[in-house]
Amino acid sequence: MLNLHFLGKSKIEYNGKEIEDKLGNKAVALICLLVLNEKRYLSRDKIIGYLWPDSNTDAAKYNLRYNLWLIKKNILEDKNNNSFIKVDTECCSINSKYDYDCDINDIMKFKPSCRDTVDSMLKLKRLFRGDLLEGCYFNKCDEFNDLIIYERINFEQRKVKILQRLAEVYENDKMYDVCIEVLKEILEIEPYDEKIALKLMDIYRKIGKRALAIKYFNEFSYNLSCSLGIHPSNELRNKYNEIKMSVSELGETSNSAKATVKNTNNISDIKIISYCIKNVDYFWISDVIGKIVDLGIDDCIKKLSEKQLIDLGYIQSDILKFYTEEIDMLDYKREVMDVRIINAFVKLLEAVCNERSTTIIILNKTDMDEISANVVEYLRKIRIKGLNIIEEN
Amino acid sequence: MRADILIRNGRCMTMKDKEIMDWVAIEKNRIIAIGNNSEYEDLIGNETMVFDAKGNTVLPGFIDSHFHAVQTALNSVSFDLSQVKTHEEMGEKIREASKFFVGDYIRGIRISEGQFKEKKYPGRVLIDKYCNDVPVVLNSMEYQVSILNTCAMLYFKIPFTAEGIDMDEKQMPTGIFRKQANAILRTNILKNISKITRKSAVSEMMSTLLMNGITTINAMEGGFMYCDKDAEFIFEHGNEFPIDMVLFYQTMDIDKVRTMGLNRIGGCLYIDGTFGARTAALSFEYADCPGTMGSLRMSQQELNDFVIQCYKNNLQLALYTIGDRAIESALNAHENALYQTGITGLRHRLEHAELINDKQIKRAKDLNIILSMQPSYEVYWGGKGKMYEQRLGENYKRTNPFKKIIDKGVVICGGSDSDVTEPNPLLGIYSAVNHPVEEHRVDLYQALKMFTCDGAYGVFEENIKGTLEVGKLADVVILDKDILSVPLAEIDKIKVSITIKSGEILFNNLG
Repeated sequence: MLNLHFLGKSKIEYNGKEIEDKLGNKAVALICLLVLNEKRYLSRDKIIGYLWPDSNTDAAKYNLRYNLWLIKKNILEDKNNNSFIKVDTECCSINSKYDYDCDINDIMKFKPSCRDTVDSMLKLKRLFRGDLLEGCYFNKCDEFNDLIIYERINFEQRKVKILQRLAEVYENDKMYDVCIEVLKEILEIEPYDEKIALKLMDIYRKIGKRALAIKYFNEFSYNLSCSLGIHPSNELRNKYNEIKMSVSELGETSNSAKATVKNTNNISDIKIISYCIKNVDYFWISDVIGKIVDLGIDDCIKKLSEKQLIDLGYIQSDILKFYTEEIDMLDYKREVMDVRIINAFVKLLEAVCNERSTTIIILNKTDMDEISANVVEYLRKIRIKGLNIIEEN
Repeated sequence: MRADILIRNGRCMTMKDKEIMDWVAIEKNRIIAIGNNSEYEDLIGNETMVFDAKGNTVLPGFIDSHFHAVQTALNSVSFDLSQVKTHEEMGEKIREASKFFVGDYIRGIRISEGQFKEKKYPGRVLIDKYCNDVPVVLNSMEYQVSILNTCAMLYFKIPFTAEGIDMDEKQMPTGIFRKQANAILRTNILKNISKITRKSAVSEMMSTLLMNGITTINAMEGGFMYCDKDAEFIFEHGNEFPIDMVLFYQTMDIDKVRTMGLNRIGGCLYIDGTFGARTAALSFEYADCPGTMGSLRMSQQELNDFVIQCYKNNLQLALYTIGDRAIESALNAHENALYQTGITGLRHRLEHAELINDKQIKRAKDLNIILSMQPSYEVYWGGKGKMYEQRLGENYKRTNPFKKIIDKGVVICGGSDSDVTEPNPLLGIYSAVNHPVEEHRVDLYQALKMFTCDGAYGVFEENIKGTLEVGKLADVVILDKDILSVPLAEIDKIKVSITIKSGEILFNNLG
């Protein structure tokens, strides 16, 4: 039985024995050339052009004859009396009736289908031991060297496709750990492929390895930035934010993705994701107040005076549910001075942060209205204990 | 007690309290005595090697606080092609190089498209005409482009599916790699450099460092545009070389650094880019490219998260910051981390910090941040008509404000950023005292501190190095002049006569 391996260092196994040393580099290259052109009939002149372009005609013809003889001598006819190589006065080719296996043929036949199984994909993956004719360089054989480069491009693309398909199969079978390994293999080849990075983060999240997803994003983002001077796409960044805000290491998401309370050792941490809208006064402040109300930390809000609640109610009516008196609509509708709203807002944050470490994430700071922007600046200056404001652009 | 080495008749600047002594005595790897007049006589035995410094300066061994050791070493065995004018001239240089080729492949560096009469990079087919039997790899000035001949295309692992491979009309690779393809290829090539090649290149580099009086470097290794194998090499083999190498692993992988037992992280951990490529993050537009202000490599939140983790893991952190916007971002992250964790005393550093402003200096002081700066940049790029002015316009007058920084009490440790500038501390000292902008000049003593005691402070080694004191490591240099008597404008002409590292005389030009 004949087994040909051209991906990685060439290996020719005939009846269980490696015979590439007996054949020599040029004979191995000749076999590879014929396999790559299996469906074509290569003329002797064309082969000489590939492998002995700098020899004179007679020497080149002799070299070809000698190497064909060497192959014939070492690879005998099969049980059906087929010789491995068909030779006539003009052309040479692999005899398609000859019984042999070759890695590149198997890979060329691959087309993704719903019948792909882990075993079939792994078998293909294992064929990639390295680059086509790895370690080979044929001095002055420009056309043949170009052919190797061309085919290496071809096989590299196929390798990525096969790995992608394998990752899909693993994911479908919920074999996430091995799926991650395959995705990492693809990222070794294409370290800046955002789709694969996104998939990897998603799988990490699915299996509850949130910290690894975050760590991976940070590394990916940094590498992208340092090597290429670009930032991750919005899609990837959104995925990162989504994962980052998910509360539990087991992948549970909170009831509200916008504001969360995390309890650890009796200390409650609060995370608020806030949004901005251009030119709408107080929008960000209002958004934060609304989300604090949603958190259900009533004890903090109740520390505000009735007047402060009314002042905040002017820009966020949800907070008025804590106002115990009957609301004087006239008073309520009366315009409140900016300074009162801001003071009340600061008091609210102080009340919240007094008992819980609070992180407010501002998602699109560039769109923040002017009043809110000034308030953020003020908050940074006065440094309320336990309050952390993070801008995420 | 007898000394192994005695240096007498010197102007021994101890770099402690501005003391100057006449002699210093060494036994084994330590300084055992230092003094004035002829009090040393009892220390001289039959075996004592006595050097007469002839009234010249004796200093602690120089510390270069920012040095890319492996890449400097590898580049020193590369061919500098920056001066060739045509493809043919370049080809001939490569042909010549191939005749004496040893190692893995021929490396040509510092080419740019504009230098060639043809106004384009040569492709593989052209390089093949001059060298087709040895792998050839050429790199552009800032490593943004790599060019391979055909032999190298088949020798190295090529990222064929990545974006950035130049193709010819037949859809075949031209051998020119940019963008993703270049970044991956560069990593692949650097990864494949053998340990033996690294070792032999670094060994060869040692003589240059010792000739310049360098006894300790902060080795900035690994990470992007460099190679993690460089960091791993220094980690494993750094102590096999005659000078001390303090490893800064340029990675964001805190777990890895912790596992290795390192107590610092970073170096060229990029917060922004370079002035040369107009990628350093400025608060104003580049003078020669209106509309461009450079960019930050990380969002504030990403940086904040990372810096907090460094604080929590008690790691000294060195961040690469060049433009004032990058410095601002780094300081914000430090303020946030300090506020969140309350952890102090880690001596965090900002590397380069070329465009730091007055407010930022004050904030750096408040945060006890060290600035690791490269005075020689001013020789290369500072002053009228040079790169800083081209890129920054009138703001070139703001670069590297050493005096303001020192006056505010911020520690500067000096480095060369080798091989961006030559590894010569005396050039750095010259540059700091002759800054093209007069108000930024520092006095000579301050400049010497940058490369001695303040360098030691920058890596927590002030108890064993950086000054000439009894009990400290015998890292000592003798200069060929009395630096205090030499006009400031001629300091760059001073040479090192003798370099002693841990009591071993490793460079001796006195005979």
